[in-house]
Amino acid sequence: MKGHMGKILRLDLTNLNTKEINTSEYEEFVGGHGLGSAIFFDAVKDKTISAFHPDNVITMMTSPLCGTLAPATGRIELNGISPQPYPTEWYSRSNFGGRFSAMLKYAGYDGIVIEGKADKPTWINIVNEDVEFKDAESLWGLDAWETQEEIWTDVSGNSTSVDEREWYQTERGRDEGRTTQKPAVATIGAAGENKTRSGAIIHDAGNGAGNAAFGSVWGSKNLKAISVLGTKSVEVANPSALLKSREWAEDNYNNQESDPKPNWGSGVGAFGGVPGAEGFGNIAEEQVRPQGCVSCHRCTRKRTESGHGNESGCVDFLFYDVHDEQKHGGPTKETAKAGDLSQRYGINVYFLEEGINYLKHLHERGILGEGKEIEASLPWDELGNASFAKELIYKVSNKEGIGEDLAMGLPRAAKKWGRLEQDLNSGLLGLQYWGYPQHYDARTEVEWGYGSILGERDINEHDFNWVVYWQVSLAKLFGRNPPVKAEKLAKIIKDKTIPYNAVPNYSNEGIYSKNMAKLVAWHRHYTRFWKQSLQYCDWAYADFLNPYGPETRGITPEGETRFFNAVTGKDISFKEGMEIGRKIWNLDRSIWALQGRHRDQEEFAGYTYDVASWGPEISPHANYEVPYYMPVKEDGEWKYKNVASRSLDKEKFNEWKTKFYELEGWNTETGRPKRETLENLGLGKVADELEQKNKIE
Amino acid sequence: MLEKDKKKEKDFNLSKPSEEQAKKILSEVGYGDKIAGVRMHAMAGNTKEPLGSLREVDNFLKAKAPGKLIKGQTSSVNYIDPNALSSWIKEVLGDSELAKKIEKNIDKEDDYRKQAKTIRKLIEKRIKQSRELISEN
Repeated sequence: MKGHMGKILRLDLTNLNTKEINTSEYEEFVGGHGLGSAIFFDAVKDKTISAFHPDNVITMMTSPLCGTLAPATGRIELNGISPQPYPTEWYSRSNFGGRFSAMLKYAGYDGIVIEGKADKPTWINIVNEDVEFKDAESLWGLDAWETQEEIWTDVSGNSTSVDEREWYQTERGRDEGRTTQKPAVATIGAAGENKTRSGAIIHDAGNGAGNAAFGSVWGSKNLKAISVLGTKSVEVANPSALLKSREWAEDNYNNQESDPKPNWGSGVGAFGGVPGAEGFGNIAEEQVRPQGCVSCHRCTRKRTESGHGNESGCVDFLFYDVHDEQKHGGPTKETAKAGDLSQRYGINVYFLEEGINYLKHLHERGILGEGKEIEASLPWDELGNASFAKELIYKVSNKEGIGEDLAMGLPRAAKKWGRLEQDLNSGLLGLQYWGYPQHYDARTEVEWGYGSILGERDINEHDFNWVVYWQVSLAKLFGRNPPVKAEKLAKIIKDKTIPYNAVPNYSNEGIYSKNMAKLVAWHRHYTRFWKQSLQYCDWAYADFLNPYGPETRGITPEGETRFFNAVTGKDISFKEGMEIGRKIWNLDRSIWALQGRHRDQEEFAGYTYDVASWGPEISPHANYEVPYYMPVKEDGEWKYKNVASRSLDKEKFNEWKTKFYELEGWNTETGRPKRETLENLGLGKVADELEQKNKIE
Repeated sequence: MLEKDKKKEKDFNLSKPSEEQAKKILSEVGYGDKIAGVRMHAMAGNTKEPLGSLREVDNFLKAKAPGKLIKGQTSSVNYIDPNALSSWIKEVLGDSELAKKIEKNIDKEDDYRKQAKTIRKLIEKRIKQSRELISEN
């Protein structure tokens, strides 16, 4: 397939040697997540091993689109058994953006498979076809930024001459590796080295794979970093079609200078937006320049005047901004500094966000503190300053004091403290699915919650989220009309969710309907292929509504298919891509079945059923409806309705699960894929393994 | 001053509190009496922040000032239900007058940004009054 480099690098850390896999052996899975799952399935014979077992395999896979002009395809997908989920360490996924994915392609590889465990700290130096296992004793203990600086110096030849260090691989010829490009380095910090359950993999200043805690798996393997420098190029099947497609996308779906400012806010559509227009996202306003991953037209990241918060975004800051605001009466640079600390220590910011909130509740209730039921010494007077974040991050990353418990992750720490059940039932501890912090609420925006519990983690996919919740609720909150009427939104989504053509009906009946099963199935299959296997970015796709698009319609599904076909030379339809997504989703489902997944385990935290979505209980004055407007169809009419006071009905949710399993061709008693389903997808050998392990009926 | 401006100004008039009231208004309440602020964010979802004083409420609302609220995927709103807030001010802080003024003024607006601005104006005025009173004595 054009777009592929043709080989996947296999790193055996135990024996310090390499092998290669021909990408064509796995071509049916195309790239990213699909490649990762297929290779993991073959490479890991016993899927029930723990995340920190040396036999766990971590895959890092690019896609045919990475490193080309296909817009917003600069990420790399990671797969493997994760130490983060609770109670089971499910096979999981994560990804990160930046330069790494493209650079790996330019070095000649479609992906990396990390196996075994080194007997001492090791880093990997990849320069085109040369792969070297290097001693990382001197890097172990350095933070993620220091490590990258050391590796850049090493790869440049350890020269202290600024003149020479402008070039890398100076001993090579022009076409053999000499380049001005810095190596792309992915590395871990203390949180990963010390095998917490929150270790992230960090690349450049602010790109990270946080959720799934694969950084900690690297730590368990004594793998400190992987550096990649490449000087090859990606062969594109139809460069002219790719260029024309990019122009078509820019002209029709992205902001033009002549476009009037949409009254629903810049950048609210997924694909369209002015690069860097969103400032620093309410965090301490300062001069910024747009910065993006390779190939991105949106450049959603920033380089800042002060240098604090470079390339970080979203929860990288948002785990701390509210505390900064409370301390200082408004956002200051302390938030960005705290974000930088999370990058340097390589720690998952979702853990920090929920962790600080939970610890604060326990502290204010007099349960946690010095001499309290839960012994903890934290500088609460400093909360809001970066110094508090540093103390907490340091303790967790180095397993010191309260950090020793927290390094186990929040659910396991709460269990040790004897608080897990009561705090999950009350909602004080907001871990809604598999011990992951609630991101969007299963009680209101059900496709997010359902997707997460049917999968293995917080899905963190905003495809529907923008258009069914955020744009609508913001408009209602500000006394405006939503971008389009509910009926039009339903029609657009129905038209675009090929082949299931689901409508976004979030009424009290709609959330338990077969239609909602179709919508969730579309979402699972779409993201598994188009996003996680091809690496189309969550900040740009799926694009249902777009303020710059024809009749406000977004680029999905035409865009995804056009770019893919132009790069690969294939001629697949969107529907065919969705079928590949269904295949990958079923492969993942089979891996979870082998790990012991059963339908009875697919239940949300207790508060999801017992507490309305305004929870948790703080005081009688804390319970009110936060605007959560969603499209509903009631009495035959579409409208937007506030569904904030809703909790899920456990019985109805379980009936809905049965509908979903039937739709997917899974056994309704166990939730596991049927042989017939797997065979029809070309996964007969997967069915065989399930049968050998008595996981298929 | 125009008649409509005088009327508007009147809507924001607050009588001087007693010293005892001022102390209560500036106090930090216990955990079980706190009100919640909800940080809504496009990418990150909603998180609930316990707020225990008027100053904290003011800081919370001030942090996401009007005009910065709609910014696509990085947009965020610090939300406190205006009715819940006025009830809290009345029942927990014992400031019926401030609560009534808030209720009266927010009824005129259906845009939360304007409501938040109005609430902040009243709260800041009350905090200033109370601080001046305490420092005088």
